[in-house]
Amino acid sequence: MIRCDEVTKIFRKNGSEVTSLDRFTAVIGAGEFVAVRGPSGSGKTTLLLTLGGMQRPSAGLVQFSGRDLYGLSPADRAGLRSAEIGFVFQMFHLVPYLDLMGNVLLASPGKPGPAVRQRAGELLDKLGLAERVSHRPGELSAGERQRLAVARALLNRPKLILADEPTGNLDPENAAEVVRHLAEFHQAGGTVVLVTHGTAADTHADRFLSLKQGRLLAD
Amino acid sequence: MSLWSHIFGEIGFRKLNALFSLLGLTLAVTVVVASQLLADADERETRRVTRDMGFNLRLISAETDLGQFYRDGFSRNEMDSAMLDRLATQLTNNVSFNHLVGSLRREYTINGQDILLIGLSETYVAPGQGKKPMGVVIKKGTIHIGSEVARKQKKKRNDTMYLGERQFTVANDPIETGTPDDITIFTRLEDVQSVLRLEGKINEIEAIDCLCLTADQDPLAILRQEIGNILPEVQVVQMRTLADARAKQRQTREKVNQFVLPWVLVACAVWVALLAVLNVRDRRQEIGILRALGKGGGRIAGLFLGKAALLGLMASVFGAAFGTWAILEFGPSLFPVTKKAIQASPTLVWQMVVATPVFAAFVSFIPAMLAVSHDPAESLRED
Repeated sequence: MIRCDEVTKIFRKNGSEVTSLDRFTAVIGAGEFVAVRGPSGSGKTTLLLTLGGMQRPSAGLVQFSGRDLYGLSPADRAGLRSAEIGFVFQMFHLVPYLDLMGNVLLASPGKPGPAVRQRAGELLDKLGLAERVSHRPGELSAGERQRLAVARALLNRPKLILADEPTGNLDPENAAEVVRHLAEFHQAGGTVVLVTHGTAADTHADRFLSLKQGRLLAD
Repeated sequence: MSLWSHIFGEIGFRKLNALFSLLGLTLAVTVVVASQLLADADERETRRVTRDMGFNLRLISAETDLGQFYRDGFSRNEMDSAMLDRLATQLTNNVSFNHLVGSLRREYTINGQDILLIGLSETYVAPGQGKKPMGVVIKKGTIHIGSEVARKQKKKRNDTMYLGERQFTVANDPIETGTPDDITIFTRLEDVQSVLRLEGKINEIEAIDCLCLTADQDPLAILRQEIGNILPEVQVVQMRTLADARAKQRQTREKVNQFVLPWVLVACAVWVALLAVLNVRDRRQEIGILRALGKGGGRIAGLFLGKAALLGLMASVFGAAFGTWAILEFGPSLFPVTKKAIQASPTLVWQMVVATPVFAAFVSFIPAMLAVSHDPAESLRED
């Protein structure tokens, strides 16, 4: 599904350079559950954003389903993200002024029809948020917010979910529940790339990548 | 999720930002509407007041001795009335004088009373200006008499009077003015020419300057040059007090329209743009997640430009209402002479309804482009 060849990302600021990804090379197959580990600053988030078409690498090639991801036009890349990739972030990144239904429907590529609304309702129900559908994110607990973010990521039936420390702000119980939902997606045939510090994904991931200073140490 | 429900939701969430933007735009519209209605009212008032002030330019034969002119109040040197026609043909918007009236003035004795007899031509104005003639229009066969003439001749409106062998009807209610008008009979130029047997002659052309000269210009020098080029055989006398009053009133109005208004608009534009920039900063992570969800630049820009246009539309209604109310409330005390002409302008309101959303979107354009060009990865990694 994803192929990375010698992917390098260098950040330049105030005349100095920081190499966040250093010739990262890997292939992630469809249906894999990959956990990416590494200390802070090891390039995990950079890798995730690069895989998701959100951050153009300084060098190297990223292929998504055989297509050069950064060879696509911005509009095509946005379309691909919308249709095939779901994001889950540590800080949830929910829109504070939309209710739960509005936040989930935000992922809809066009004006959501009845079928999309029905799916959003089913997802909220499945993730235990059906009772709070008209609430706003500010009225939810951290665990509920992250489940809402997962529901949003799942709305368009993506092929890939990129999750950046999704359990970082959660207690063990909520963390386990979020990972369980990602695992269910994986069991249904989806691909998951999960960046983590902890061990929450250990029981579900079938592959582990270790990063240090932007380099792939172990696969 | 439609764009507009997204925009409405954001406005409801960040009420203060929206409120301050709305206030800025409302202020701009209020000032524009009020100043436009004020300018219209002031224009009417200025024209009316200056018209009532009378002519401030007197063109007399170059041969006239000014000592005689000031002593008698008129020139004893006649000119051909064709000179009036010559000057009238040169009336355009590019010359500094307007409202030409030719006159023939002489002392005259009627039933033993020494009076001043003045014949007035029609008024010539620059083409396309549609201005009303200054003073009264004298109908054929009628005269307007001063109060002292009326008292001594025992005449009132609709009475008949003879000038020489010709009979005229008194067309006015004589009112004491405390000026030489009280001993004057006004009638049409050709009638006075006939009575005095001075056909084709005038001894003065009256005019007013054009309200178009700036404070740093010497109006008399300009007027003398312009008129001298057309009629070298006349000299120009300016009644300075009237001219200065006219110029002062016009310049005050221009200062308001040309200086205050643009600065208010610029200040409001900067205010709204700064609030839009703050709004973009507040929403960086939202922009990031929208990008991650595959939303394009058009949608992102639409969120900010649509919000600006919506606030502009609301501001146009509020501002037009406030501006109109202010002028209707306070205008009559500022412009007592023409207060009845102060009215709301539906055309202006419609112009504001169209222009304000465009203005708001225009000043929010750069902030919107900042939002579109913002690197979403940067905000998404700000955990």
